[in-house]
Amino acid sequence: MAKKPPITNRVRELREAHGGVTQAALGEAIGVTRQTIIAIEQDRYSPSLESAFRIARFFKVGVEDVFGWEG
Amino acid sequence: MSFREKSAWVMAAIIVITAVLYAVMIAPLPGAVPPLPIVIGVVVVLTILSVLGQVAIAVFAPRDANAAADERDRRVADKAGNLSGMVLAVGVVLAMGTYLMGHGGNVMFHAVFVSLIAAQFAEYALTILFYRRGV
Repeated sequence: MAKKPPITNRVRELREAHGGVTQAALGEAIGVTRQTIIAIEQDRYSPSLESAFRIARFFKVGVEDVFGWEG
Repeated sequence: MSFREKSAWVMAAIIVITAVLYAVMIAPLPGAVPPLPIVIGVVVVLTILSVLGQVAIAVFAPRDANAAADERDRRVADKAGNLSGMVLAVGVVLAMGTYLMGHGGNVMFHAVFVSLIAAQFAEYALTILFYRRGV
């Protein structure tokens, strides 16, 4: 298996907490594909700083409430 | 599976088919001379299969096919393209080595052609790997 990125996230948890926002809807809102949201949730992809901020803004929380560091 | 990953699977398969076709057609010929009609034929077959393959995938997922590449797609493409470029560079250097060792221009031509095919295959294989295992 590929080494997991040190960045963790709570994207799935936040989607569910915000009324079950779909991966496609979140992806469309921040300008990435549904597959990229899936990859982020499965820790197979660390988003760019810009996308990280867009995700945080979408959920109306701070970036540190979405992403963590496990380095 | 994203449109681009499906596309990479199809293109990897087409590259393998093209490589086998090239090998089967060239192998029986004496003197390793690369005949122009065969080389052109292989390129034409590769082009036609590529177009048909892409159209076939796009028919089943037209929305994904028209979507612009996002940041992950671009990162995957950059990394796969970078590494496959190295495969091509190594292949070309080895091909030049065959010429310097006296195997002649025909063998060098085949070696460069094979390097091109290997580099393309590497690019699609790496694309699939990065989409599946992360980039």
